[in-house]
Amino acid sequence: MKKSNSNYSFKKKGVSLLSLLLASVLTVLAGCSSSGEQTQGGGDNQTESSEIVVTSFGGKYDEVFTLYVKEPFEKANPGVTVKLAPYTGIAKLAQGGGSSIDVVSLDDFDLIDAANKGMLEPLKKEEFSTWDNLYPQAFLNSQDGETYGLVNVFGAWGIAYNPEVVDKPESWNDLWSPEAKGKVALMSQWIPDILLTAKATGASYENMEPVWEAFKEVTPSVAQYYSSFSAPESLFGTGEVAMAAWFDGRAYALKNAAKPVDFTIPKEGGVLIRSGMGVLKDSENKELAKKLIDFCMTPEVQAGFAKELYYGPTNTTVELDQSLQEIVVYGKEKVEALITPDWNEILPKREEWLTKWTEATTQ
Amino acid sequence: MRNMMRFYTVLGWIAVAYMTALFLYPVCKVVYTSVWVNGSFSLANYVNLFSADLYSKVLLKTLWVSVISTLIALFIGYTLAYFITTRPASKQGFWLMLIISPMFMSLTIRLFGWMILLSKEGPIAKGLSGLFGGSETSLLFSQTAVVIGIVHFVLPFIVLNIYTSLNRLESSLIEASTMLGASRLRTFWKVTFPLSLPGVFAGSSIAFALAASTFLVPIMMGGPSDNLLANMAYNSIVTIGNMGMGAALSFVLLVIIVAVLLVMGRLERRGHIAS
Repeated sequence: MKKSNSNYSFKKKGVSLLSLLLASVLTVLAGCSSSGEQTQGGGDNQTESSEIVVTSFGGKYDEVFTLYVKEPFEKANPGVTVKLAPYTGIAKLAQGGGSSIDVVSLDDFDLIDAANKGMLEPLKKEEFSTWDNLYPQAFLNSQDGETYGLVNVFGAWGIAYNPEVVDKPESWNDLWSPEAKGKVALMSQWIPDILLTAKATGASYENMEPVWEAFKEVTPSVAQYYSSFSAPESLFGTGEVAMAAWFDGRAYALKNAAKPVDFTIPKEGGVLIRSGMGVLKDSENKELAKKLIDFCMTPEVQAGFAKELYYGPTNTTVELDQSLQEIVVYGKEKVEALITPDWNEILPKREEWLTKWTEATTQ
Repeated sequence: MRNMMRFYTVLGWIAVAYMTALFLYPVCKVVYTSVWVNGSFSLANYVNLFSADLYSKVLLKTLWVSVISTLIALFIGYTLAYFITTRPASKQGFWLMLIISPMFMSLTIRLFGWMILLSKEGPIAKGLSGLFGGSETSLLFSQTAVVIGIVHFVLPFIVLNIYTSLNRLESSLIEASTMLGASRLRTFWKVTFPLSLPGVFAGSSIAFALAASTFLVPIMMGGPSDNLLANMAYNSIVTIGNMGMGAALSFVLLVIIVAVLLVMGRLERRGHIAS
C-alpha cells in the first residue's frame, strides 16, 4: 500500500477486499459443514494403485501393526499403500470425522454402537477366507443380527497387582479390601468394571443400585480412576498403586519389563476385551478394506500380535508356543470362561449407567 | 498516513471476519446443540444441569479450585515479578527467560514431572517421611495436586503481566515517597501496589480463565473425584455420547468465565482511574 491511490479507488479496493474475504470465509464454512462429499483422486477408483486408511490405537500397537499387517499386505498387493490414522472415536465419526477413513479399529461396544447407528458396511461370509475359522465371539453383530465387524485381538479384563505389596487377589471384592486402601486404580467410566462389580455385589440389570453403592463406598480409597489404558504402567512404576483393574496384555508386557506386576482373573470371572475392525459406509475402497480385515485374521498376523503384545488370537487355527498359551487368551476354554457382554442389550442403558457411575464417584 | 489508517481498518475487519467465522459461529453452534434436543427446542439440559446434585457439585468445585489456584499463583507471581524488577536491568532478561522457558515444553510433560515429584517414591514424599517418620503420604491424585498443577500452569502469565506493570512504574514516585518519610513497607502498600493493580487484574483474569477451563491437569494429577467441569463436558461428549449435555456444560463454563472476566475488567478500569 505504498502507492498513494486516490481515496475513492482505495475505498473500493477495501470494500472489494472485504467482500472477497467474507466470501472466502463463507466458502470455507460451507466446505466444513459439507465435508466428505468430495471425491478423491478424480473419482475413478483403481484398486491397482490405491491407498487404504485404517485407524489404529497408537503406541506399540502401531509398530506391531506396521510390521505384521501393513508391510506384508503391501508386499502381497503391489501398488497398495496402507496408511495408519490415529484412533478415531465414535463421537468424532458421528460428526463426519471419518471422511478419509476406510477401516476403523474400535472396542467392541463402540463398533456395535457405530453399526446400530448405520455408519458401517455389513460384512458377509463369502467375502472372507478366514470366516469359518474364527471363534463365535469374534463376530460383532448389530441389533438386527448382521455382522459389521470382526475381532482381531482378544484380551482379558481382570486384576493386575503388585505381588510385593499385596497377596494375589481372589475376588473382585479384594479391590475393596482395607489393605489396598488408597492403592487401587480403576478405569474411569468403563462398563467392564461396572459389570464385574455387578457380579460381585449380586446386582442385576433391573436393579443396579448395589453397584452404585459399592462405587460410592470405594471411591475414597481409590487412588485414581484412570482414563487411558496406558496409565497403570506409570502408576505401578512409581508404586502409586498396588492393584488395578486392567487387561492381561499390558500387565504381562510390564511384567516382562522386570516390574513387580502380575495378572489374575478373579473368581467372578473376567471380561473378554475385544478390539474389532469394521468398514465405514462412506469408504470408497470397500473391497480392499475387507481384504485388509481378512488379512488381519490370518494365523501369521495373529501369532505376531500374540507374541509382541500378548493379545489372544481370534482365529481358532493359530498355534502358539506353550509359554504364550498360558498367559494370553488362547483356546476355546479360556475364551468361554470370560464374560462376553451383550452390548446390544447394554448400549441402550449405557448413558444412564455412566451418569449414575459419575454421580456415585463424584464426592 | 490516511492510507495506512485505511489499511489497518481493512486489516481490523479481516480480524473481525476471522473471529466471526472461527469463534462466534462455533460458539453459536454449541449453544444450538445444547438447546436443540431430538429435533425440538428444549431447555432440558440446562434444567438438568442446575437441578442435579452432581453438576452443581462439580461447578462449585471448579470455581473453588480456580479461585484458590489463582490466588496462590498471584501471591507467588507477585513476589517473583517484584524480585525480577529489583534486579539490575541487564539481568532482568535472563530472569524473565527463566520464568518463560517452561512454556516451551508441552504441559503434559511438565505435569508428568510433577507426578514423579509428588509420587510415593518421589523426593517430596521421601523428605516428608524422613522428617516425620514412616507414614506414607502421597500428595498425588488429590485436590492439592490439581491446585499445584494449575498454579504451575498459570504462573508465567501472571509473572509477565505484573512484571510489565511494575516495570512501568516511575522510580521517582518511590523516591518521593521515601523522602517524605514513608517506611519501605508503607511505600509499597501506598504507592507500588496500587500502581501495579492493572497487571494484577490482567494476570489474574488470564489465570482464572485458564484454571477454570483446564482439562489436562485434573486428568493427570487428580484423584477419583477431582474432575472439573471441562472433564465432565468431555466425558459427556466422548464417553457417554450425550452431545447436548456436553454443549450445555461447555456453555455454562464459558458464561461463568466471561462474567468473572467482566468483573475483573471493571475493577481494572477503576484501578486505572486511581492511578
